[in-house]
Amino acid sequence: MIYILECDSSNIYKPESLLDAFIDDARLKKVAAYRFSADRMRARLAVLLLRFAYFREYGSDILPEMTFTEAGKPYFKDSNVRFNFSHTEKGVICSLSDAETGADIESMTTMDQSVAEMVLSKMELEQIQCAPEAKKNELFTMLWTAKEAYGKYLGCGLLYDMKNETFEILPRKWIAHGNVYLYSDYNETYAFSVACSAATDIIVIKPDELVAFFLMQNEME
Amino acid sequence: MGAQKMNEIQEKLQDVFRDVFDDEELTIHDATTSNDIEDWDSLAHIQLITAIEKEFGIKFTLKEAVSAKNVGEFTERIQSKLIG
Repeated sequence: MIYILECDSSNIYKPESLLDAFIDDARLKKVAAYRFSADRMRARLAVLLLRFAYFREYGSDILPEMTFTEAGKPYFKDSNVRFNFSHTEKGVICSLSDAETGADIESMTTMDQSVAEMVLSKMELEQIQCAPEAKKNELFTMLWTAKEAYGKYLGCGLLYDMKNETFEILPRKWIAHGNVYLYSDYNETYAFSVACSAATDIIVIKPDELVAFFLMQNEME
Repeated sequence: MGAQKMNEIQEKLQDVFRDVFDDEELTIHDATTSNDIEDWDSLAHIQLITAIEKEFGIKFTLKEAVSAKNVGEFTERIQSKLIG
């Protein structure tokens, strides 16, 4: 299942201490390493969205212990549940699955030709060249998130031969890429992609729903 | 490469960072990482690399580009490219 939190993380969720009660110490350390409060909040929201999604999908309000692969991909120790998350200025994405998964979300960006040439395959560059001018940035941002989500699925991040990996992008459609399924979409502020071993549902939630969940949890404790 | 040349690299690199992140006040140090700059995400990292390539007239492989995790590592890679 894919969960997307649509939000402006710079002006929600105060006090932070209330939220921190639901985040494990290891993650809080990572949160604290960010210099800017908006970055710290996005990192908090990513783990809170994961916790929310885990409760909805598996019925437990306690997350399994989280650890990292050598390449830095987070995973649950002693659990078959796989997850991945990503955050940007106006959105957080969390993918939760019984098989490997990768997710990426990126603020809508203006395509830079040098950047495109560094990361896109020849066919992807042609695809962008053929797209209407007004759609080029959306297509580029989606392609980038597809590349990153795929790398996160593989567990190697950006360290794979992405220039020789051509992704087909059809917004709001699951597309087979070898044994992996990719889904991409965008709105006016961000684009995202997820890579999973099978097509699954996408659930968009609003900040109020997430806050209500944790306030209820807080009252129960 | 002398200390003066290293200082030149760092000064030019600081200009590149200021330009990419559109922040004239931005000050970088060897230990500066993506945690210290608000907009330094994965795509901005690639934008940074292409801007560095243009500024210094060098080329990075994607692996070299992605594996540089802080300003100090960028400086080292630029230095070795300029020497090599």
